Amino acid sequence: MSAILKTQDLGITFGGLVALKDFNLDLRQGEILGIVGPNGAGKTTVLNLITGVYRPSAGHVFFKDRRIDGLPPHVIARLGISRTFQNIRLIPALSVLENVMLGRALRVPESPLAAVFLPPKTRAQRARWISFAEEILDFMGLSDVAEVDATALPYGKQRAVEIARAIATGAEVLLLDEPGAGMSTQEKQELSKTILDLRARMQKTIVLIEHDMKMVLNLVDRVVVLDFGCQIAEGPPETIKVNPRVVEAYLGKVEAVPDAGN
Amino acid sequence: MKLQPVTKIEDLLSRRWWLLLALWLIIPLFLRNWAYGLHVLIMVAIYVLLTQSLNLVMGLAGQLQLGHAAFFGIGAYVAGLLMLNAGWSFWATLPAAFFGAALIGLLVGLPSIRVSGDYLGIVTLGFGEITRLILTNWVSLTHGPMGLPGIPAPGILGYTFTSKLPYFYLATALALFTWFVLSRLINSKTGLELLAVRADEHCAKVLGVNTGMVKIFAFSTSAAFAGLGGAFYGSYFSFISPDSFLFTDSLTVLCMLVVGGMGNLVGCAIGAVILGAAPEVFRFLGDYRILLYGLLITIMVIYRPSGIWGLDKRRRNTIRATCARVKS
Repeated sequence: MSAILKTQDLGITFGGLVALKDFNLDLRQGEILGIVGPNGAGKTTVLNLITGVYRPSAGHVFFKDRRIDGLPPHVIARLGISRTFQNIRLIPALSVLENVMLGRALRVPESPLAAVFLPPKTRAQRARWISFAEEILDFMGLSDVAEVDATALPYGKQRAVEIARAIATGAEVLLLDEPGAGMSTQEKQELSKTILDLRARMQKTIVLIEHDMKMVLNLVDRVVVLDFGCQIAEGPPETIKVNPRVVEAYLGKVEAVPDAGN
Repeated sequence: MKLQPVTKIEDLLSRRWWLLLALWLIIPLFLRNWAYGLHVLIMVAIYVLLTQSLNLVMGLAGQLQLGHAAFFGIGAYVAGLLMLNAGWSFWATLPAAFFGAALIGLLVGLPSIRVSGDYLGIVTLGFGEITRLILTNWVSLTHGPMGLPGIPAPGILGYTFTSKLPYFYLATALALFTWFVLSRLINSKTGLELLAVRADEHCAKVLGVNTGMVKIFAFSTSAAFAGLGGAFYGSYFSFISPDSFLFTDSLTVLCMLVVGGMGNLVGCAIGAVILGAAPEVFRFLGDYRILLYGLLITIMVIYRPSGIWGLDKRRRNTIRATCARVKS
């Protein structure tokens, strides 16, 4: 498998603070990769660097062998990388359907002039746009709330809408920033199933940031562990959970690690 | 498979709206000898246009614009100068004022890429003042504080507008045109992008929205429609001066937007009607009516910050009504 997304000695400093340094990532097509680490370890910073929100102070990011660091976020989104946010960021006053349509908007070449005159071509394009969004809502099990205001939904559903919106962009790589935060065990199980479905049925490549070690270790192919902006370990879940550096930095006592039970 | 349009006139929705519009068009026929009453209605129509155009940049894109009256003035001066100096007909000056104001709007929109919030408010406020100063001091072109007197009235087929009634219908036509175009724009991909920029610019960027372009588009289009209104205003009063387009005029329109409801064209119209007519209705109170005006706005901001009919009353999923249905 070839690397679809690659970072090379990626680093960023804010003032004197080194938020991330020498971060090397090889994300393979069709992989589910977990990024774990304690609070403030630089996990979200990685996503912000990849999506172009921050400019790296060192190193590069490559997407399909094309260098993308330095490109503005909306261009990177169009290339095929999308993300969800740790703190849910849905657009208020828009329905669930409209939020997902907004996600798709970058692939809809509708000019303002066409919107004013509404030629048949634009109307047909809108029909395809909406049915695409509805298919994704169906996939995420959100069809019954399509008309509801997105921000009026319960927490778990809002997370699902965010994922739906990210899929709608047509991105091949999805970066999910703590999608399970604040969810019940049952909701987390459903989320895990959804994430596996994203790969199996939609051929997405996924980067997952998550605090729940049990969930991560059950779900991912490979884990990258960050601590204070440094990459302290990388490998399959089985080796990660017995890695002494990881245990020290993040997992605490060895006994506390639940059996991943593969 | 056959493509079939579902709705054709989705923008002017139900029968109720047609009824209101018919009333609006018919009532002035009974007021034709009451010039003052007609004048108030004409100004209300222009205020509807101005509030709705300001809404595009403030209500939708969420960018603080405190110099809206300047675009109104730029439109009036572009149209007035072209009529007086180049002998253009009123109708030819409408697109000129529209695109002229759009161009200046584009330039004013540029700082919005880097500056936001209160700071952008200061930039736009400054722009309004600069416009006034240029109009006042560029004497060779604008006649300075003397203004432009004798702007010709519009005419159709040899008939020149003399009474207020044709002006009323012209103002209404311009307001409806603005309403229609802005409604189509708001209920479109661009509309969704604008609302995304307003709510969360960072998130919009990550979703692939070119937020800079979207903001500049909003500034420019908003200015264009204000310019259109300005062209009408100049011909209607036949005299314009830099004092006709002050910061207080920008504030008046802003108040209409806040009271009526940001992000909602119907709310804009409600705000323009209430605050456009109220000072005239309460004229017997003398200067106390300004006090009343202030009180109303204070009450609104405290008890209903989203306005009488604001974004929360926005119709959802409007794009669906405008798409062709695939019939199998």
